[in-house]
Amino acid sequence: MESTFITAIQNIATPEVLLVIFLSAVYGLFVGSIPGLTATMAVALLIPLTFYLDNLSAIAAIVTLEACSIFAGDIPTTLVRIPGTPSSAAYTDDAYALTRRGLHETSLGISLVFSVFGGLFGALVLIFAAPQLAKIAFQFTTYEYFWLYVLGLSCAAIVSTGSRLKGALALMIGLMFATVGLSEVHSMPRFTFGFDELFTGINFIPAMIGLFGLSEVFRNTLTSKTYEAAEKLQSAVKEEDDHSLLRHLKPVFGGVLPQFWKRKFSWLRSSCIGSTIGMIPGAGADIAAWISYAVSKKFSNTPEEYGKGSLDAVGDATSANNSALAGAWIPALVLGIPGDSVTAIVIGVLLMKNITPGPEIFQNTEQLVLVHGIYLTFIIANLLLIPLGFLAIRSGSQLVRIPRRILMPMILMFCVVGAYSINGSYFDVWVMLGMGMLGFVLEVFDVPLGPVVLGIILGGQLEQSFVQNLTKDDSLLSFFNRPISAGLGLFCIALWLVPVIMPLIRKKSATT
Amino acid sequence: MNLRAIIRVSVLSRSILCCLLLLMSGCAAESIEDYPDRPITVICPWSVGGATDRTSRQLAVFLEQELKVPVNVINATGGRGVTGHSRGLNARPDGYTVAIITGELNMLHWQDLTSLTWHDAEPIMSLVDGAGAVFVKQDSQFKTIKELRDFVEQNPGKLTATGTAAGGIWHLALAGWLDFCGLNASDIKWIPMNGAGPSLQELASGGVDLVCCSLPEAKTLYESGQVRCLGVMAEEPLAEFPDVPTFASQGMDWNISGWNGLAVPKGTPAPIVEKISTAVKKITDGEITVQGKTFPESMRDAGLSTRYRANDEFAVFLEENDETLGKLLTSDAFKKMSSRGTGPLVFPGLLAIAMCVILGCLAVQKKVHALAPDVSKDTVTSQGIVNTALVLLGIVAYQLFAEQLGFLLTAGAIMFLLLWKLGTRWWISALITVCLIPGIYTLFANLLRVPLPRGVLGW
Repeated sequence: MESTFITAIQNIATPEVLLVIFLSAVYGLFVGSIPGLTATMAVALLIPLTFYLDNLSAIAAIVTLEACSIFAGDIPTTLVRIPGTPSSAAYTDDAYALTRRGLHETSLGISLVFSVFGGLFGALVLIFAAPQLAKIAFQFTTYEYFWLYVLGLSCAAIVSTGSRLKGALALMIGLMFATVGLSEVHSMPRFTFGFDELFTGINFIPAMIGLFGLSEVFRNTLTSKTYEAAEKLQSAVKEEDDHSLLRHLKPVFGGVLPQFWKRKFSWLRSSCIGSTIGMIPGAGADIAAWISYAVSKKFSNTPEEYGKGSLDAVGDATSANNSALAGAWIPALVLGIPGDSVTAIVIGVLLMKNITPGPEIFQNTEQLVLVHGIYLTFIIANLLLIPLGFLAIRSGSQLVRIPRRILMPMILMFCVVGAYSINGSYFDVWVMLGMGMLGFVLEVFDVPLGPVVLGIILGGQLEQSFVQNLTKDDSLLSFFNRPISAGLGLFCIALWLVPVIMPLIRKKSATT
Repeated sequence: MNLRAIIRVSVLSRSILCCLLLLMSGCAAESIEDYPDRPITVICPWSVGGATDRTSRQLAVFLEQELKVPVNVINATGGRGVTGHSRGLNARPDGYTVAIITGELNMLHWQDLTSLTWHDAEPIMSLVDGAGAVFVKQDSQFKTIKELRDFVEQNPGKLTATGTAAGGIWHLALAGWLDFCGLNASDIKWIPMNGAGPSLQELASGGVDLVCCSLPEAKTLYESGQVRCLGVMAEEPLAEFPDVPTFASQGMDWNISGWNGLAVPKGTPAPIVEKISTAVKKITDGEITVQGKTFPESMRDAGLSTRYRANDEFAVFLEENDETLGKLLTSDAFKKMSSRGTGPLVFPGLLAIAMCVILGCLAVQKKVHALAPDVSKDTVTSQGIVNTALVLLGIVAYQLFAEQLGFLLTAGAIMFLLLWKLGTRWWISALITVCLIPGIYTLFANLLRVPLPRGVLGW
């Protein structure tokens, strides 16, 4: 344990890895602070690069990128009232109201400090909870895994914003895509329509680049206007002339630390909520922020301020969304089930890097070094966020002004090259294009994209464990024959049935 | 010092070889003499982490050192090896794509999954040869392979085993052994799993009774005492694991192993085949060191048992192996194996039904047409429709012209036109294009070695 930890420190403390961490932090801050570019998209665009990095650098890059872009999402939220990432959406009104009162730097300072401490709390939860959970997971057989896949997919559909039915529809679309190609358990090609390339199935990385990246390009170009003036985002921030350092530091950090000390208990509460929500498969930082916001309002002495510019709201929700990040890595590492869309990509990267997520990675020394490396990177990334985040706050008002007519062709180029580079195949670019159009259409109909991706990733494994279970014993009752699988199975069924039955019961009690 | 000497020797031998080749093939095209002058791609048909992938990557490092050009590994996985094998062996026979082939090449065509056989390959060198082994959990009642056989004889269909996909090499190994013992190939239920890793985890958690895979793949669990090995299907005990008894020493002369090796597509010019063969021969002979280790040493460190057979010897082995596996796969015992309860369309069928139900519910609730709030907020402009069409055209144009014109020209033209048409001034668009496109190319093609099309300008 200790020796692997020391090895992990030694591995991280090399100039190459530190440079990768630094560059990812800058990239993360940049992408996160541009409205419309999400952390998930940033990670998806980074994937082709991670193939060529060594394991630790690749994972460190993703961790850093994630932590920094989630914070950076607060910058446009505060300055121009456009959430940089979906996880900032919960407190957009509060943050922007503060800006209009001229308190934007205090608000961003609060965001930064609470984000950093929330992130560190999440990292601690990851460090202590993951190995414990791995011990339990060592008892899991195909039956438990089947229910876990069902649980992960169900949560993604249920928790995602909008209609539950549409979440389920998105899930089915994703699962359908996963059945394309040669079925691993049957050795039979399905839905290949004579394309040899489809034998492998739909590669989920071009699919994801298309769904998240290209569809965003379409959304932007469709509503674009040609003249420059209309494109500049409206900001309430006035231009300043004074440029001395102290003059800059004071509004950002002044008063923030006392504020933090005053709200240490609510910080703890929000961080706990954040990391717990993060652990639930399918629920990510955005949902953590919403729930923490709601809880914070409920316990607040001044609930009437919420929505009209409450610093407490901003602080609580940002610490929750940052602690959710590390929480999401727990099921990803221990069970191979992603906690959010970023960790869904991470699992793909891990698999490509010779690491099969699962309880075994806590047994194998070499992989344990990597796990410790992940812990350390979470801590480093959050500490690095203090100086870099400060710089980002200062330069943020410039960053959000990059016109989209320049940004969109660039993103398009990265989408094409990114999709191509995974296998050096033009077919993957077609897949990316098709998925981009599908993603756009789905968004028009308000169907969430998260469950589609999760379906593509987990579909194969879900079907495999389903068939494996039926091969072991062809009665459906065998799915409940072990205590853990029975518990998980009943929980999954309840999850789907309760919202269906509840209205019926309510209606009945109303009529009697 | 040592390294420099080796490089000098290798350079010398290379130039001598080049001269020889020049003399031998006087009329050979220039590209053959210069071979290799650009990066070589190794196609590995299996995913990262397995024995085949480890072999491919090790070999690539040594080939890079020897041939002095970048050698990249691409894992073309899926389809039980069909994808990777067809990509490797159907590639342009110019020596710039080499294939790693595995035992599945001699199995897939018997199972009608592909028309590809080893005759489509120009064999260079066989590398790994890993015998199958049977593992049980530490607290299992079985101590020897005989006890296992007697139990199966009395209780057919009671035990479950795994190790790879149904019909894969380890399934064949176990079923073949049952057949060899005079039992039914289906007397042990085979649970299809994706490789040795998840199979061993399933064994450790008590989900299955047996695992059949190669010994090195179970090294960690075996050495930590969590699983017991009943026997290895080899003629001699393995050097790495001398304590594990062979099947033969327990009175059952049943041997089977999974192998992999290097090949190039049929039709590759002889001088190039010769050049690759010579390089690989030097590598497997341990004449080349990378970071102070020879290829055989690094393979040993990875726990992989190797068996080097060069060109013709490899071809003879392939022929025999193909016959052996063919006999097994076409026998009555295995014909039955492929039929199973849950058909391949059951799961997609269930999904389709669920989808119809959901769509029906949405139609009843009349929620299908609810537009996403942020799309409806910004109105779609006619300019926007033109711009989106341009983006689509850009991608299609890239797909059509990139291979001929190369990345720089195609991507540059598309980038400039898009920037310009989306409303940026022409000289700013040109500036961004001139900076960005060569930058992307350098980053991806040179630093990350993505095979971006070179085309007219090269770069």
